[in-house]
Amino acid sequence: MKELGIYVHIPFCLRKCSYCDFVSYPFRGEGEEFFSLLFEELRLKVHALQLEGRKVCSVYFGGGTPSILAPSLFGDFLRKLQSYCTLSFPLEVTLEVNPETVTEARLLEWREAGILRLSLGVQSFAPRYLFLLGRSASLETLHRALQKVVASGWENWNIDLIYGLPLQDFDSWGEDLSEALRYAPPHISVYNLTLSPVAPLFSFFRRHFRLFPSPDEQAYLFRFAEERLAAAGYVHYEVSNFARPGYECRHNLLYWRNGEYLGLGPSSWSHVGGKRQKNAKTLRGYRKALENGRCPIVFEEELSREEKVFEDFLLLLRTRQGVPLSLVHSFEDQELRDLLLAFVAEGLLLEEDGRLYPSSSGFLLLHQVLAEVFARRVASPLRDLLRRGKRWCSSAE
Amino acid sequence: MDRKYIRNFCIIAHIDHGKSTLADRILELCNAVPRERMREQFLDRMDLERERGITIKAKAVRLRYVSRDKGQEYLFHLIDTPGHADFSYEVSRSLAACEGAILLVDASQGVEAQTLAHARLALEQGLTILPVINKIDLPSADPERAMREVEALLGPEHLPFTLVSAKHGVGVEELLERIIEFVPPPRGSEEEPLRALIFDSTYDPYRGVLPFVRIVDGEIRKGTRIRMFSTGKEFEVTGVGVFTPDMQEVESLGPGEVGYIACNMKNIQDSRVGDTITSAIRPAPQPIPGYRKVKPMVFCSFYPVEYESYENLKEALEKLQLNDASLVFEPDFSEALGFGFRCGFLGLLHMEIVQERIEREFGIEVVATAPHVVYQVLTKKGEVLEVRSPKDFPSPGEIEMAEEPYITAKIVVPSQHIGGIMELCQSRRGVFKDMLFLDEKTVLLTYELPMAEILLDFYDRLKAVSRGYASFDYEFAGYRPADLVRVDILVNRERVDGLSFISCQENAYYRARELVGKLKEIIPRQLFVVSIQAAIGGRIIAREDIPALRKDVLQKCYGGDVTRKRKLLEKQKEGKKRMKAIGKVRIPQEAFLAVLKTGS
Repeated sequence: MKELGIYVHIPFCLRKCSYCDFVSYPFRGEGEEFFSLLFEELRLKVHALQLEGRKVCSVYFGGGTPSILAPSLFGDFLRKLQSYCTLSFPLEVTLEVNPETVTEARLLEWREAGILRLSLGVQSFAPRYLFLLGRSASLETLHRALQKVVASGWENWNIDLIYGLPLQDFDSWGEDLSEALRYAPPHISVYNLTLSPVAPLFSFFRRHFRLFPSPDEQAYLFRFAEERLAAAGYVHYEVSNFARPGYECRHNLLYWRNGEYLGLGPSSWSHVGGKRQKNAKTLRGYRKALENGRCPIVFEEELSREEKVFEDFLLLLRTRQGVPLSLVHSFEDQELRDLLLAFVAEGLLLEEDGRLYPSSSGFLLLHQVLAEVFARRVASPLRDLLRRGKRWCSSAE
Repeated sequence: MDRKYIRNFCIIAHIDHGKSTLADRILELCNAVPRERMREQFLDRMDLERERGITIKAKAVRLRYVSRDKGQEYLFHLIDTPGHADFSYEVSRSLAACEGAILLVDASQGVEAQTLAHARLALEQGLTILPVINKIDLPSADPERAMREVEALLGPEHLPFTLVSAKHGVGVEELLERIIEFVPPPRGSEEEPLRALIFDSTYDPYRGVLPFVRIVDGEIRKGTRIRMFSTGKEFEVTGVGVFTPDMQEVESLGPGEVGYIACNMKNIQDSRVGDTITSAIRPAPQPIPGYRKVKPMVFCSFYPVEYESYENLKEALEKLQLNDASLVFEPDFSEALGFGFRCGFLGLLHMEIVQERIEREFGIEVVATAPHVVYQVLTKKGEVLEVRSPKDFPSPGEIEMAEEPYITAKIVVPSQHIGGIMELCQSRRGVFKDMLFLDEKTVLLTYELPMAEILLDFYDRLKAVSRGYASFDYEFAGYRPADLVRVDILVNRERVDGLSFISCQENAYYRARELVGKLKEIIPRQLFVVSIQAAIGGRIIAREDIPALRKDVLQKCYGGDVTRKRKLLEKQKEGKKRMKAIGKVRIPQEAFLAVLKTGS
C-alpha cells in the first residue's frame, strides 16, 4: 500500500497579505469549532476512500496562518488521525508559521503537540518589501523569531523568501539571502512573486508593472540565489526549493511524485485512488456540506492512463530527481521523443543516470518546456472520447 | 415625341453640394411625384430601397416639363452619375448618354476636386455645361468666389451662371428654362440601324438583368432581337420602359430616349457598361465609341471572421455581383486567415462599399486584407504575368521588366497648404504635373502617382496636412515601368510565404526594416533564439534576432492543484495550434496581418 500524505488547510489569518490569493478569513478564535469540522471531514473521507489502516508519512498544516491557533489542536488532530491510520516512520509533520506568532512557549507546545518541521514565512528582510507585501512584523520581530527557533534547537525548518519585488536588485536580494543564511535553516524556499488578479497587490502591479523586474531580470535574480545557496551547501531539488541533503520536504516531494494525499479544509485538493477531488472553496460552503453529513467535494475527476502518465511526467520534471528515461521511452510518439532530445541539446534538460531533469535554465523555463511537450502530444480522437466519458464534472458537451 | 423637344442632362456636383436637393426640386416642378409622396431627397430614398431589394434604382428619370417661356411640353431625362473617382469610366458613359450637364457648385465651398474631374470628363465628351451656383441663401455664401473658380475651370467663354437655392426652390425654374434654351436636342435617326449605349444596369429578381440605355439611332421595342457589340450575344426584348421615377413600360424607345430593356438576361457580365446594343437582324457597322472592358484595379482578400461563414460569404458576393459587374472574386487561402476570397475592385471606395454591404446587409463579419494593385511583369522568357499576389512575383533574375499602375491625381487645396501637399506627393513617389490657381486662394495641383502609394493612408494624410480642406480625385493613367522587387521574410532561415511583399526598390529597404521590427515585437520569445531576416533574392537586407526566453512568466503550481496546471497547459495548447509553425518557431496570426498592414 502506498504511503499517504495529509494536507490540512487552515483558512484563518491575522490579516490578509497583499500578494496572497489563498482562501483565508480574519481569525476570530474559531479554532476548536473548525477542528471539529476537520474531524468530521476526516471521518467521512477515511470511510468513503477506504483509508483505514493506511500508512501516513506526512502531515502538513498550511494556510492561512495555522500558527495562530492553539498548539494543542494539532496534537488532537494527530491523535484523531492515529485512530484511523498508522503514522509511519520517518514521519514529517509540518506547520506553516508566521514569524509574528513565534514565542518560546509556543515553540515548546508545538513540539509537544507533535509538530516536527516548521516553515517560516519570512518573505523578505527589507522593511520596504515587508510593508509592500503587507507583512506587519517589524524587522526586529522577525529576527527575534528566527533567533528563538534556532535557540530552541529545532532541527528541521524552513525559511520562505520571495523574489521579483519592485526595484529589487542584486544588492537587496543578496542581503535577503545573506540574512536567511545567517540562521542556517536546513531548507529554503525561493518563490517568485506571482500575483493573481484577486491578490490585493495586483492592481498596484498592473499600474506600476515597470517597477517590477522583467522576466529576464527575474531569471538573473534567481540564478544569483541558486549560486549563493549552492555555495552554502543547499541543493536545488525542486523548482522553488533548496535544502541541505536529507532535509528535502517530503510532503512536497509527495506532490511532485504524483503520490497519494488527502486534503482537508476549504479549497484543498485530494489525490487518492486515481481520483482528484477538490473541496468547496469557501468556509461557508465547506461548513454547510459537513453539517449536512456530506463530504464538501465540489469537483472530482478520474484520470485516464494517458493523462496519468503525462501528469507523472509534468510533476516529476519539477524535481532534480527528474523523470526516468523509461517513462520517456514509453511515449509512443517519436516526435515527442525528438522534442525532448532537442531540449537536451538546447541545455534545458540534462540526462544523467537514466533520468532526465531540468538544468538551472530549464527550471526557469519549465512551464514553456511542458507547454511544448503538451502541444505535441498526438491527440487521438478515441483517447479524447474516453477522457470525456470519464469526467463528470466537466462542462456538458 | 419629336426629338427636338427632348433634353438629356445630368448633374455634376461634389458630395454635399446639393445635388439631391436640386433633383427633388426639379422633380417637383415637373410634377413627377404626387405631393403626398414627395419626400426629401427622393431619388436617394430610392437608392436605399433598392439596396434592400424593394424597388429598382432610378438611374435615369423621365420628366415632363411645360416651358414657361415657350408654352411647349418638353421631355427631360435626368441621368444620375456615380459619385466617385473609382467609377470614372462609368461616369464617362453616363455623361455620354447626355447632351448637357449642370455643373453644381456650393457657393460657400467653391470648386472641389471631384467637381473638377467630372466637369473635365463632360468637356471631353463635348457636353454643354450649365454652371450653377447653389446655396446662395447661406450666410457664408461667396458666389463671386465660386464663380471665379468655375470660370478658371471652364475658361472665359462659358454659359451664364444660374444662381439657385435648391433648398428654397429659388432659381430652379430659371435653370430648367436654360436647359431648354442651351442644351441641344439629341441627334440621331430612326432610319439608321439600332445603336443604344448601355450606361448602367440593374438586377431584378423577376426579369433578370435590366440594361439602362440611351438610344442613339434606330428604335427598340418588345420583340426586337438585339445583339451586344462586344460579345456578339443575342437576346430577345421582352419589354422596354422608363422611370417616371417609378418603372413604367412603354411601347418603344426611339432616338434620344433613355430607359431600360428587359430581355431575359441572366448574367450581369453580358450587360457591360459602355457597350453598344444593336439589332441582330440589321446590325450597325460601328459601335458607339468609348467602350472598354472594365478591369479591377485594386485587389484585396476577404476572410470570414467565423470560418463557418465561408459559404455565406460566397453567397453574399454572388448576390452583390448580380448588381455589380465590376466586382470579381475567386477563392483564396491564407496561412494566417484560412479560406476566403480574393476580390477585385475598381478602386478603394468600391472596395469599402462592398465590404460594408457584406457586413451590413448580409451580417457577415469579414477581415479585409490591405488592398494592393495588380503588377505586370515581362519575364526574360517573354511571358507577361499579371501579378496579384507576392507569391506569384518572379525572382529578380527572371524579370525583364516590371510595371505598376499609375493614376493622375487632381488635388484642390487652399493655397497655404500647397507645400504640405506637395511634400506628401513627393514622398509617395509622385511626379508633379501642373499647378493652376483657380482663384487667389485655391489651387489645383495635378500629380501622377503610383496607385500603390494612394491605397493605404494617402487620403487621410492629405486631409491631415491640409486641415481637412484638400479634396482629391483621380483617374487611372496607365502602367509605367518600375523597379519592383519581392521582399521575402525568413524566420530561422526558412521563407514564410505569407510574409512576402512587393515593393519598389527604393522603399524596399525601409519597409523591410519596418516589418522585421514589427515581427520582432509580435513573435513571442521562444525557448531558443529566433532570427528574422528580410531578403531580396539571395541578398539579406534586414535582420533582427529575438532572444531566447530566460524565464517563464507563469510558474506557480501549488501542491494539490495539478488539475489547474493541466488545464492551463491545455489552453496554451489551443493557443499554439492557432499559430503557424515554421520549423520550430510558432508565428501568431497577428504577424501575417502586420505585413498586410505595411503592404502596398
